[in-house]
Amino acid sequence: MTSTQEHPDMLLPWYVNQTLSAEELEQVEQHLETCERCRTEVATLKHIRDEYKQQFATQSPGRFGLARLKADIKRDRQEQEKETLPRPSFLWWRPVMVAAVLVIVIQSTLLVKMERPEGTITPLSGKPAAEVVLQVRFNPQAIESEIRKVLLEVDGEIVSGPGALGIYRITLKNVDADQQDAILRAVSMLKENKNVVEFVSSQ
Amino acid sequence: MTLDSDHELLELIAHGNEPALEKFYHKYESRVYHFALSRLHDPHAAAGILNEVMMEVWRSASRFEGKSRVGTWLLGITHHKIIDYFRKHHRHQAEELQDEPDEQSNSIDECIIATQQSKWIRHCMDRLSDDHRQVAHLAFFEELPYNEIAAILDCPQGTVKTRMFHAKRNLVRCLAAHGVEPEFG
Repeated sequence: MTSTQEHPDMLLPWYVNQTLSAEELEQVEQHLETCERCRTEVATLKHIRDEYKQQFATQSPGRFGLARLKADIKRDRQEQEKETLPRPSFLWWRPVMVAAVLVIVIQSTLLVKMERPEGTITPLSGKPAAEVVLQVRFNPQAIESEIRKVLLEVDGEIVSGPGALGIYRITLKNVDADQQDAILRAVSMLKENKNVVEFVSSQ
Repeated sequence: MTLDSDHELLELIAHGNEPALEKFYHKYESRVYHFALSRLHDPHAAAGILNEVMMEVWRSASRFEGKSRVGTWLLGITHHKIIDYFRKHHRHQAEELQDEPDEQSNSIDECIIATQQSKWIRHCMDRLSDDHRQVAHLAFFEELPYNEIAAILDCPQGTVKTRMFHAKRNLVRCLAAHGVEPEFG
């Protein structure tokens, strides 16, 4: 401390509260012997200190403050325990979660199937042409060239046969099922060739 | 209670010993509370600061390095809590209150009991700026040496002396203005 460079009255508050070092105390006491103003100041500071301490000795929170502190400590501990405790094991609900996922998958599959429209799916290019199939039995005496000629006339094509009764299934190319006139005309033409076609009917 | 027992208390507190904290609280709560009250003028806020300081002790007693006295360390924590309070509540630390007696803080009974001079002493202490009042409180109420006050307030010792000098001068002026005539100043 550079007490020699400052006026001793800077130290008077600490002279009053008796916390000066021995060296400082000696310096102040020597000064007080000759300084009336500083002696008065010391008396006034002591009076102010005593009055202030007396007035300030008000009730502190005491046991109420302690109760508040304990409550906060308890809360603090609980929060710390929450942070340090391992989270609840996930093992118990893992099978439940797997089962739930399976249920969702199965339900989704069923829903997709249920929502599928009945009947054929119509392509974007348009409704497919309904095939016209005729059942024909040829005369056993007819030769291949005669049969070929008749088929060419109606634009027909053997798709299956002969069956057990000698019946062939013939489709009419370029004729749709809703073209009844074309179908009747083809049937009529086939029937007119009796030496080649014994029997004809539409499915 | 000796210095060693203070250290022992802090060591126990650092290990989560609640009865040790209770003892510590009983020993220091008045000092912490009154230091806060001297600066905040609000018993509720001062009680809040006391609680925060003791919680800080509870959480970080192990950080006490023993470089200063426990009381100095504790009031240093209090000082910083008060600064935080001022920041949080947008209050200016150095504000000086209006030079009007705070009638609300003095009940009729208190006025009857207290002498007029004592009332003005408290009134004038309360009207000091925070910088001056904190030094005056630590010197008059805590009766601490200036080097410890400097440690608590984290400022040079010369600053403490200068603040005390101005506190003393303003105190005397305030008292003189209210008819209390100190013979120095």
